[in-house]
Amino acid sequence: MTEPLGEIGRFAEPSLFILASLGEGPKHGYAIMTDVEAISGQHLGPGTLYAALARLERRGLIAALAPEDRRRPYKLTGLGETTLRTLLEGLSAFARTGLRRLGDAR
Amino acid sequence: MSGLIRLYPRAWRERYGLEFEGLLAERTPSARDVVDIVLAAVDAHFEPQVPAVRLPRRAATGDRLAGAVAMAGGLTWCTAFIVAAITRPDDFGLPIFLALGLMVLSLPGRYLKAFLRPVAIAIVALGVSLALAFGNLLPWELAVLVPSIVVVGMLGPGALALIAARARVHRRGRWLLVALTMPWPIVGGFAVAIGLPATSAELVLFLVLPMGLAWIALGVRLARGIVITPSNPSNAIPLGGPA
Repeated sequence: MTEPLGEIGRFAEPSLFILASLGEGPKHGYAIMTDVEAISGQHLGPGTLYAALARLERRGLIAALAPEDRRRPYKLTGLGETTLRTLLEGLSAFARTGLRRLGDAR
Repeated sequence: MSGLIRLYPRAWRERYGLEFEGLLAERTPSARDVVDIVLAAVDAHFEPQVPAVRLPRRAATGDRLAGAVAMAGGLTWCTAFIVAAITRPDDFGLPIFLALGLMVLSLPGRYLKAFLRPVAIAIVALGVSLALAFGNLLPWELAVLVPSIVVVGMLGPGALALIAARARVHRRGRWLLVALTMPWPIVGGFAVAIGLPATSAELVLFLVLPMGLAWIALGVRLARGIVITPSNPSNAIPLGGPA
């Protein structure tokens, strides 16, 4: 389901959460962490957060903005936005199919 | 807790260290977070997402020129001894002094300020050796032997260490280079001076060639420009000025 992030390996899921969080606008590390926990209910550790950020940045899916003191905001790039949209549409189609099958079974 | 950042590779710390510290300051990591950070640090070593910063430094004109002169010095040195080993001339002192002169010519630069003592020794050694060689101040045998020892034994290691410093070779590398190359020309100088049998010319050749090859290699390194990385401690060596 997260095929475009497949090469990111075990950080694919946190990466998806981070992309989704940045879909709202630029955020720095701490804001991403709290937002991801709010939207997914999953704890995002600082190590995992920066491992995923580094991978996303290296692949050009996010870009770092000018630092504000010790905080550095990140934003989605055009490629990141396209990738996020593709991922979410895939997930949405998957969810619809799954729900329909559940309905069919009843 | 910020000490956890030291677990990460240097390149990673340079890129993310400050903001990561900021994050840890904003939210004190739990035991679970500490485990997460340790695992992520290990991952960063095995699968670095931040490539080590390598800043290819194009050699300054002065360094390129100095590198070319150092190469010429090394080549002249090697060629002179190879030709001498083949043709067995009565006297081949001139090309050797030419080689040494070229080597000395490659040395000047702003970086020398950091090496005042070896520079002073080298200058004194050069003066003494030239005076002895050209002033007929000693009997012929001694006039060959003494300058050989002074030039090769004092000026040689000093000059080699200096050109290595100019080529941003780290301190340990400079000592190693001197230790591996310089004792042999001194032995060779003695051998020539005391008139070992002609069959030992090949032996002398093997003794003196390493120093010439070292000059050529350092000249190439200097002329090409040095790749500087944050982890390269030789960055501390001041950049060379015009030769």
